[in-house]
Amino acid sequence: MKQRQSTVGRLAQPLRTLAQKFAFGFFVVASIGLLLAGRADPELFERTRMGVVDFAAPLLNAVSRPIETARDMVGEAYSMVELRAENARLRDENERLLAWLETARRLELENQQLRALTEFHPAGAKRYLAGRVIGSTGPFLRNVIAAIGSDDGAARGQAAVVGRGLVGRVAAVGRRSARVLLITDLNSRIPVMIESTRDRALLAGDNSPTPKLLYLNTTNGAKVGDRVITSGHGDAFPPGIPVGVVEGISESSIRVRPFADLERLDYLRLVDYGLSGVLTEPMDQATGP
Amino acid sequence: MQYGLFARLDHASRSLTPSLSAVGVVLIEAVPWYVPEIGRVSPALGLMCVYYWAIHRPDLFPASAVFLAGLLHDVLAGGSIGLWAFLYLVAYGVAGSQRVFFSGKSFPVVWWGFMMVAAAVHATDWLATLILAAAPVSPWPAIFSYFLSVAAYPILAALLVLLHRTTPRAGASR
Repeated sequence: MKQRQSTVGRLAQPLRTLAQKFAFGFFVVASIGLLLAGRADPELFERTRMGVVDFAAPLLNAVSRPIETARDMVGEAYSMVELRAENARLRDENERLLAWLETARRLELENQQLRALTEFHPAGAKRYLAGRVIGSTGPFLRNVIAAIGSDDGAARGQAAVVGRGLVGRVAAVGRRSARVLLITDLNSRIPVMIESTRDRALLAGDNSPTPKLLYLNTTNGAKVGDRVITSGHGDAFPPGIPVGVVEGISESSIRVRPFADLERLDYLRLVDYGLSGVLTEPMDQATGP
Repeated sequence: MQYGLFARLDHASRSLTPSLSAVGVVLIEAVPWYVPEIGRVSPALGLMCVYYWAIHRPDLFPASAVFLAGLLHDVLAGGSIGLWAFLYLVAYGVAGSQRVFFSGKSFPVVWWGFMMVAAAVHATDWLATLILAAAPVSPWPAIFSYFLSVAAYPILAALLVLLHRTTPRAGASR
């Protein structure tokens, strides 16, 4: 009995180290293989990915709450220092906004009257779905996970907004979670237009804080300070959502500073306009030049 | 008989500590952290965890656990699946191979080792993103994340040491 055990013992150790080295090599090759497969056929992993994200969503949700609380406490302490200046600023802003409120009411009334006059039938009603942001990882990646899924009515292609403006587009949905591609991501392309001139362009992200305007079809060009809004072309997005303001014009690119604070997303809303758009494949993998 | 079963279960669950901690840390890394004045911060917590266990208890932290943690990171981050699995495995291999060098050395030496490994991993991440996107990508987010990770390593290492104490002794009976 003892002899048999020691023979087995003698054989097992070198075999185990060999197996470990082999396992390591196998997994390295497997990860490279997955990487290449993912580039060759992006659709392959999307469903599995959303399945895993869906599964992890409740966990992420649970973990994010204490972190959010801690963060809020730090933020509170910080804002205590700036209290007086912040107060004054908010008072000013409030006054300005109240003046706008009057104008808005008047315009709304006028709009209603004109519509009645011309018997104008607007497109289907917009539905807003609110969701918490529960995940965002990595230094280079510009997408976030929101705790709202197809069970709540989210669908791929919906616009994600915050109060200030457009944040991104839903790239994939699971039952309980959705992945939103931010407008600053490398793969994001949004049809937009300059509000004042109605000139169309494409807003292309490049992982920097200020996405670029491509294919602007105007001879005059944009000016710094022009507001950029969604154009609704391709029926993929509702038109008129504020996106950002033109910040810098150089020879190579026109840069837009988004209105929304993409670095501090806690909540976002998905706009369900009832449009299906032109999306038939995951649009977060660059497929062409 | 009862006692034997309990002891075995206890041993088994403690042996899972490194792998479970790696998965847990990757989940925590996915949650957004904001700091006033700076915005979103993302230290590479998962990488620190992989490095620590690769040096201290590789027998309880097999390559399969590293691979799965890396895959989870890729899935949650929304990036190319396999990228961080590969990077975690590279860090695991490098740290594991230098285990003899690190055993018995003081903490600053281990920290310095992490600085080297994290630099290589972040540089590779940036290069891979550059190649896969076929477009210019600024290295600044990776550089920022690198310094943040290096600074955060002692904190996470302190927590991992506490976990380390719960793991069974190497070579203990199965």
